[in-house]
Amino acid sequence: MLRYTIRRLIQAVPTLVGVVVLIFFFVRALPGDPARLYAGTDADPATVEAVRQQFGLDRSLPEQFAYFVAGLSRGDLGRSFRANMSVTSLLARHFRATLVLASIATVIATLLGVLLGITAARRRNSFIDLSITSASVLGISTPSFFLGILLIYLFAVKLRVLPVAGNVSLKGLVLPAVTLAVASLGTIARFARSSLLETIANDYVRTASAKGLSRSRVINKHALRNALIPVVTIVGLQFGFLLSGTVIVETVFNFHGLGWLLIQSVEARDYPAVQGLMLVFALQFIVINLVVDVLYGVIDPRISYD
Amino acid sequence: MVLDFPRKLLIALVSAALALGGSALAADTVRIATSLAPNSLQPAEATGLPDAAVIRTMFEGLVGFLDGKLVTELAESWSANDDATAYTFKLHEGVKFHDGTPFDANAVKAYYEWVLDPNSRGARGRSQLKDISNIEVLGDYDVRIDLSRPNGAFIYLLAISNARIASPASLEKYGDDISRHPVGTGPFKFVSWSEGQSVVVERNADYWGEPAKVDGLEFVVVNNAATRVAMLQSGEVLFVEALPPQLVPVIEAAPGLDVVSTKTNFLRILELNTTKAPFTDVRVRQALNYAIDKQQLVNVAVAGLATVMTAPIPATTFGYAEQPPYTYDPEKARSLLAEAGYPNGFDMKVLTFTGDEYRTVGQVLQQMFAAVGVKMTLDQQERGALVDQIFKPMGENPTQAALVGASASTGDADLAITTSFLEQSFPPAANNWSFYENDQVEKLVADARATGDQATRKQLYAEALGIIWQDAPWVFLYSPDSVAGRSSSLTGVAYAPDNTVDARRAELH
Repeated sequence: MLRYTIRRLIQAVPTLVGVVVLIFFFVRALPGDPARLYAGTDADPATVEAVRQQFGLDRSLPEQFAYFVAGLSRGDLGRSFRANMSVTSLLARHFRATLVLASIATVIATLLGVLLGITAARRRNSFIDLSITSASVLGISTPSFFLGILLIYLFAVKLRVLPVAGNVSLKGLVLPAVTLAVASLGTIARFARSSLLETIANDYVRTASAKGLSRSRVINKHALRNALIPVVTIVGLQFGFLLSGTVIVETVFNFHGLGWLLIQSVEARDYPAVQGLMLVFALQFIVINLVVDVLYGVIDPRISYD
Repeated sequence: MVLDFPRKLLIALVSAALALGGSALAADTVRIATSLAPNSLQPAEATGLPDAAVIRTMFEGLVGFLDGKLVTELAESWSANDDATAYTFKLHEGVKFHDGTPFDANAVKAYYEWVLDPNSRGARGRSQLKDISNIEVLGDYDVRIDLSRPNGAFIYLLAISNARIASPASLEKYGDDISRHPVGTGPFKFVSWSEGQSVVVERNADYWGEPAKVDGLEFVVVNNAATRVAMLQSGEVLFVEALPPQLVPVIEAAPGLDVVSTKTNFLRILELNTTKAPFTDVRVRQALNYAIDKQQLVNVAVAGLATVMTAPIPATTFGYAEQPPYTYDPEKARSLLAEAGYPNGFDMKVLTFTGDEYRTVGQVLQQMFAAVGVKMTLDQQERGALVDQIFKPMGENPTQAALVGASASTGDADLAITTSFLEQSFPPAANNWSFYENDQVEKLVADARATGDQATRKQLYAEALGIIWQDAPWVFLYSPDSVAGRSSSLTGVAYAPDNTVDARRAELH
């Protein structure tokens, strides 16, 4: 397993290099001059030029690229134009916020989603199944900004039990995490339900029942493990999406994570910050995919990577 | 086992979340929701409006603005010589920076010399104060600033946010990190800055003037207007910036909340590129001014929260002189267009920013122009792309007309006229996006700058403004009010005319 993990990480290097090169030239191809945007529209040419020098944008493109790559090899992503601080500490600060939010939302969505999915599958075609399935569809199709505003109005403005603005504290996480969890929860519940139903239809499950095991033992011991494999994939994917910036929910709840940072950085044409963010997003997906693959092995002993 | 893993994770995360929980603030801390995040708290470097609002609480200048009026701050008094080339200041005694450094004539000299040093981070202040040729220490508390050329408007340049004074010792101590380590003399001093989230300042107990009435201020960044309003309604903040017109009735109807609006030195204008037909003809430009019912525009587009322009510069500016209005008259517009050779009108493309206000204004203009035969299309572009386009030099600039904002940040006619209407300000140098040129205006502004006599300056500006108004390089639209929401328990916090929040006199009841 360890060898496999290391091999996968090494394989990821070319992908990362590609991302770095692409994003470096892509941000610079966008219209908009970072120096002018930072100095202000009423700044005179001398000010704009001074800012340009400060940003290192007066150098040629190959020079800038060499400088960027050299920094990267030392683990230095440069200095944010907009925030006047190093990109690594900027990313760390906002990543922490997004990581906490996305993790809690994913945990809520996974626990409730799997539970609801199993319940629905066990009582297939009952009223409970119908309710859970319809609620899942409703959860998936409710736009998060709408649900967010609804929750804000109810819990923050009317009842005043939770704050409007999200932040990395227990109270501040409830509303944004629930809003984020709702959509994922629906997806996970539907996946868990159909996956379990498919598994139950297999011969070995029938055999387990035939040899006299109780229904709950059949499902919990035999069917569930296998049914969970596709669910893990979906949870991993959902987590990946949540991590790479939940732009709308972060905006509604004023939660300053990676999504917020991305908007601010693109608007300011903050090249070093945008480059850093893209690198983080690419890295996240590589790591999450890896974790998901490793989890397969944990859930299903038949899957082995060595 | 599978279900064990998330349970452990949840416990870990919840305990982490509890550990990271919000920091405690002093009891009487007033929270203010700003619409944008500050980038730098170094006065000479900062460019944004949120930066200026925070800087004002911690830093002072020799002079400054209070409710839009020029007042002395760290200077007890000042005087200029007759040809406006030397300004002498008598400084307040016994003032200390927050780091304990005494404020005196040497500090003034050291600080401004840092700003003027081409290698310092104070590029923005440097461009405003570039006329300074020498700073002379006359005594511990007496200092004279000499200029390389006469500038009757110089005192207004010293009053803006970029000229506020930081501790010279702090510059040395923090070097390139000075943007994030503000040390001034003001009624509040710096506590913390959480990037993109908030800036906290606390009362400066050793303040030389009248002390602040609250323990501290927290400027919280909340980009989304609906979220800001919800935070005001839930009591999480006591003041919110940039209240959009459609949310004004919500706050007005809410018990315990007030709408506070301030006249500003900002403008919304439709600039016409005077080098491109048909706008080379002054009759066409005037016709477009007659074609717009500006009061109606203000009522529809910004819920009446604006003042129709009555001169090419804001009414809050020194040197402002009211002009005869272009009264709404589509008939006259049509006949002027016919006279200019466009009896059936023409097509025009208007470049503008994204955002509700610009879109709504653009749509109203579209309808009103259509009534006189002018077919207008609106080209909304993201800020970075738009700025790229309008700053292209004359030959390469494709812009025919642009619906944009303009401002007079020093509150003085000199800057307002110079940046928008003089040849030296053709893009990319500054904001004369119309490429407007008039020799008489050039001469009047130069004369006004060469005198220190404020009455003479006023008269010269009035004449220049009359000419620009007649030449109509812009369709003069309106000056928007800054609109904020405030809890009734808070007084002393409001917008200043420069569209930045002034929270120095905050008081809780």
